[in-house]
This record gives sequence, structure tokens and C-alpha cells, in this order.
Amino acid sequence: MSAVQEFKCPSCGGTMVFNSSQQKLVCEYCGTEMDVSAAEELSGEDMSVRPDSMDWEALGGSAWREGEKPRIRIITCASCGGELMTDENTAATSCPFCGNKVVIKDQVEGTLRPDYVIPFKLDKEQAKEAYRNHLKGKFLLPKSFASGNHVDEMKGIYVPFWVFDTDANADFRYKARRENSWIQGDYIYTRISHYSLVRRGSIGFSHVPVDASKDMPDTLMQSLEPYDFGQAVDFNTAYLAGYLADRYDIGMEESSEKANARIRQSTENAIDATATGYMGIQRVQGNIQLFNAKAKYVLYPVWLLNTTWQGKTYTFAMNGQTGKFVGDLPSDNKKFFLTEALVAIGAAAAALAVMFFL
Amino acid sequence: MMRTDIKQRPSFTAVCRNILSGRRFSDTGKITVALMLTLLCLLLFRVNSYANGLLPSSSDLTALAEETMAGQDTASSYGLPEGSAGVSSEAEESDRLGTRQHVYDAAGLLTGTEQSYLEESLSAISQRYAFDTVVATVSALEGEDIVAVADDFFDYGGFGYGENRDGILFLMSIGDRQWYISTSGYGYEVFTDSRLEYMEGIIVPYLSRGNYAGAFNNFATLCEETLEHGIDYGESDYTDYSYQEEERGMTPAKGGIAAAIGALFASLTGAGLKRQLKSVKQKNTASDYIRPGSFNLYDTKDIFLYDNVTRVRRPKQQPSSGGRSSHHSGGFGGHSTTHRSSSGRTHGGRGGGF
Repeated sequence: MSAVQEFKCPSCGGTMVFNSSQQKLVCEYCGTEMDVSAAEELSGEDMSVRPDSMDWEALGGSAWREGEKPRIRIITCASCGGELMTDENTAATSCPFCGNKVVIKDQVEGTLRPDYVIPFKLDKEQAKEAYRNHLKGKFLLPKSFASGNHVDEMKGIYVPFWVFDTDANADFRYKARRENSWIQGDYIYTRISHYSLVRRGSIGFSHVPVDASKDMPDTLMQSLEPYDFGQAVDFNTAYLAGYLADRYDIGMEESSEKANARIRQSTENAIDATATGYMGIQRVQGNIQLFNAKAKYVLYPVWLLNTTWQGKTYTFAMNGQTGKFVGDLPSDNKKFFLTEALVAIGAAAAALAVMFFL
Repeated sequence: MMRTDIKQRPSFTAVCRNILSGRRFSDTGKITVALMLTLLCLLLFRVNSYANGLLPSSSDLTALAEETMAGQDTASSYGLPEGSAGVSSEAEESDRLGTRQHVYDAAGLLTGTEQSYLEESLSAISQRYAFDTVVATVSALEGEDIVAVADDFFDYGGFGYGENRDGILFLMSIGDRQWYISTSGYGYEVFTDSRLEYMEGIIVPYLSRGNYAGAFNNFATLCEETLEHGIDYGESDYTDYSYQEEERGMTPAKGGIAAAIGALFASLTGAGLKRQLKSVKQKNTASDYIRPGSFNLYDTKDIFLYDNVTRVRRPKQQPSSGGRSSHHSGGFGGHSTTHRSSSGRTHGGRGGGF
């Protein structure tokens, strides 16, 4: 053992010094204290603090293959600027985002070829049926809403996603305490024991999707999750026949931040759940390292319907694989207010009656 | 041409519409607002009931007592003898005391009906047992000790029958939320510490609930029972009669509770119906994509750092009598703690907060 030994703080990694008045080691940076015996136990531990490392390797997207380019048609919407991709045989239709006419543009240059595609499992009829079911049983939905929209405008569209696979390695530290009290003579004694908890673990994530199209609201796409990547197949231009495919306009780097945030939250939840049996548990330090982090460029199937009601646009979407249907609906405020008032009066009257006879 | 941009302020109706449609408030926000409104209603009800006759305080009570004394002086100037003169016949004394007031509601907590009902029963008890039973309320003590105020009110107000000034006074200050029972003469013999403690147990819950008439009516009944049975009275067969009739029917508190329940149900129903319309939600975790069985916690350590032991003295049970300088004053039924008032007379008593 060397004459001078440095003790690292279990909370922040700073150097701890011996405080003679307290007879304890005290961290000069964060104020953590510990007994000398604890310091010995800790001396074998790696208490260094590392920054997060959450970098991704893009496998995602490749160049178009020989012979594929002539079969791909790029179309743009003159009104909203949306760029879409389809198969050469698909007739020009209206823009799925704004409903205006689209123009065919011929070059495919500057785009990436998707790695995988989950083909549509559900057709337009099923999507229309799901939409009708979505409107059913909604008490506050204004009556005029359903009659006004054009369910035939429902469009099948392949939405570009970056999907992320990784193993996350977490190294978290917590401070915690235990308390017990007892009575002795005229006094109540309370002992507070302070602990430092170390939790290290790894957790694997497969196919965390992040929508790569600016045309698609993130929350709308997240609401359609999850997709079953097990049914994804290698991309083939044939899958585009009859459907539109949106082109990615958010790069992998930008998308990975959104994936990282979700991966971090899930990792924290998983590791935090293992720090139990104490009071006042508080995470003081933690870093996450990603290994084998790979991103892929895939197309997911979505049925999309845009409708306008009283000057406001409502967007509905259905997961083309699972049939999950989402989309916020407007509320009839007069009905809402009346219902609340009636319920309030009814409940108050019932409560009064009960109290009167008690 | 100049173009000026005028910032559009949302109109009042637009704001109302927003609030009603829940755009401005989350569901929990709305529940909180509803509960706060309800509490406000409750508060207003209470303030209202206090305000009924608000305001006099202990100085007004002194004035009241002086007035009473003045009346007594007039009485004596009409030739009626003082209580201790020894020449008074019993009938004359009960005339003098029988016509005077027993309820001094300076804080205005009682309605006219409640007051006259209480006056009737206190007056009947006072005459029947030749023992003054008095109830007084003040809105505030203005820093004075409730024991001194009660004793002085009794002494200088000229209450009490006979040489020993037999009587009992219940004084309550609504502003300080304090009460005190002062006993005098035969009073501190018969109202023993344990008896007063028993009475406290019945009366104080009424005060705490704000049912002052109930508290005072119970006080009257308890006095009557104590006097009826004398100093060896047991505490078993008293029935708390006024609870039922007092608590029945509509009270402001019940109205408030009902309103709160109504608001709660309405906001829960409203929130539930609104939730039906919402299906687009952000996802903050990747829990759907955790590879099954991939979680591996490979290192856990719980390292003890240090202990910290503190101690505090155990709280002692406070002695429960209100005496200042106490001595044992006889009787067969129990112990009474007594003290001396500013007029030099001996009083017993008990008091506290509510």
C-alpha cells in the first residue's frame, strides 16, 4: 500500500479528504461523508466518472441498385412541397398531406434506398372501417363531425423511419439512507445510516423507431407504435406499387437524439427499479454507454386521413400492420358543459340526501 | 400606407370557452380549481355565520358586567339587600337573581331562538339549585388571560348565590378559540377536576365543530346533572341528547361537502369523456423495444458510509388542570384544583382550546 492513498467520492468522483473534527472522510465537491471503514471497502472500486457515450453507426440506407431507378418515380406536391416516392405504374394522385395535385419529378438522385419495409397488412376498406369504429362511442364528439369528412380520401403511405438497435450499458450510483428509532429512558433516539449504492447493468433494445419525415407529426407516429419488426422484409420496389412512400428528410444523427432520449429513460427506469430497500434514494451519478449501436432505414405502412372541420385540420392515422387507429377528435363544448353541470348537481343532491338522513 | 400590428387580446368569451373545453387547464388542474372553489364557499359560509353578530370583545364584556353591576346597585338602592348581608330572605335573593340574565353572547354566536332557549334552561337550573349557571362568549380576549377574564366577570358581575357566591361560568373566546369554566363557592366542590374533565370531553367536540348552541346546551344539562347528584356523582348515565337534533338537517358545512362531491364527480366525468377523444400521445420510453431477457444487472453494491445518531427528549403528558396556586378543597367525590382571582375570591375551573 502506498503512503498516500486517494479516495474517490462515490457520488461525484471527486477526491475525499479526512476531516479531523468529524473523524470522517468528506468530499470537497459535493459534501458526501463516509467513515474510514467504508473508504477501505470502496478502495477496490472503480469510482471514476465517465461521460455518456451514445453514438450510432449508420448502416441505414444504401445506394439504389442497378435497374431499380427507372422503376421509382419521385413526385412533389406543388402546394405543400411534400416529396413522395412511388412505383412507375402508380397513377398520379393528390397529395396525402394537403390534398392538392402532385407533379411527377423524374430523378431519384440524392435519395437513399431503404433497407427494409414492413408491407401493408391491412387494406383501405379495413382502414375506413377502423375510422368509423374510432368515432363510435365518443359521447362528446360533435354530431356534425362525422358527416363532414371524406373517408375515401384515406391514403396508404409508407412512412420512413430510422430504427435503432443497441445494447445499453449503465453505471449508476445512488445515495440512500436507513432510519431506525428507539426509546431509551427519557429520550427518543434516531439513527440515520447513510449508504452509497452502485448498480451496473446492461439492457438490449431492438428496433426503436424514430419517424424520419417532417411531414409526419412525431407524436402521431409514436401513437401508432409498436410495429412488429419481425414481419419486415428486404426492400423491393414492388412493394411501392399502388402506394405512396414519403421520403426521409430528417437525418439519422438528428433522429438518434430522439431514440437516445427514449432509450435513456427506459434504462434509467430499469436500473432505478433495482435500487430498493432504502429511504431517500437519489441518483447522484450515472452514465450510459451504447454498444453495437446500429441504425437502419425502413418504411412502415400507415393509412392516413386528413379532414377539415370548422376551419381546423384533424389528422387520423392507422398502423398498416397492426390496425391501431389514432387521431384526436374535437369536443362539443356545449355538451361538455351541460354534462358537467348535470353531474355536479346530481352528485351534490345525492350527497346532500345521504347526509340528511345519516 | 402605414401598417400597424395590433396584438389581439383574447376576448373574455374566448377565454371562458378555452377554460370550459379544458384547453387552458389539465384535468388535475380543473379538479384543483373545483376543490378550491368549494373550500372558498365553505369559508364564506363560516365567515358569514361568525359575522352574524360579530364584534364585541372582552372589553365589551366588562362593559356588560358593569352594566349588570349597575343594575344591581340600582336594586340595592331600591332597598334590596346585598347577597352577604345576612338579612335577605331566600325568596328575596332568588327574586334578585332570578330576574337576571344568564347568557351573555357578546360574540353573537347564537341565534335569537337558541339564546332564549339557553337562557330559559340556565335560569331554571340557577333558580332550582340556587346556583348561578352562566354562559358568556367574547370575540377576543385582547391578550388577557382567559382564567382572569372569567373569574373577574363572575366576581365583578356579581354572580353567585349566597355567602359563598355559588355558581359556575362557561366563558368562550371565539377569536382565540379558547374556553374556560370558572367555578365558585359550592361550584368548586361539586365540579371536581374529574367531573370537569368529563364535561370537557363532551362539550369541546361541539365547539370544535362550530356547534356552539350544542356545546352550551350540553353544558347546561351537565351542570343540572352534576347539581342533581351532588359531589359523589358518577359519570355513567349522562346522555348526550342534543347531538341528534342539532346535527340533523342542512348546515353550511354539509352544503360545502355536497358541493365538493358534486364538483369532484363532474370533473372526473368530464375528464373521462375528454380522454375518449384523445388518442395521440407522446412516448417517452423505449420499453416496447427492450429485447426480452436482455436486462442483466451484473454488479450491485450497497456501501455503508456512516451513521448519525440524534436524540430528543420524550414529550411529557401535561398535567390537565387549569389551577394556578392549587390546594385540595374537600368533598367526598374527588379532588378540585382551585386558584385565587384578582378580587381575592377562590375559584375552581378548567379550560383549554378547541
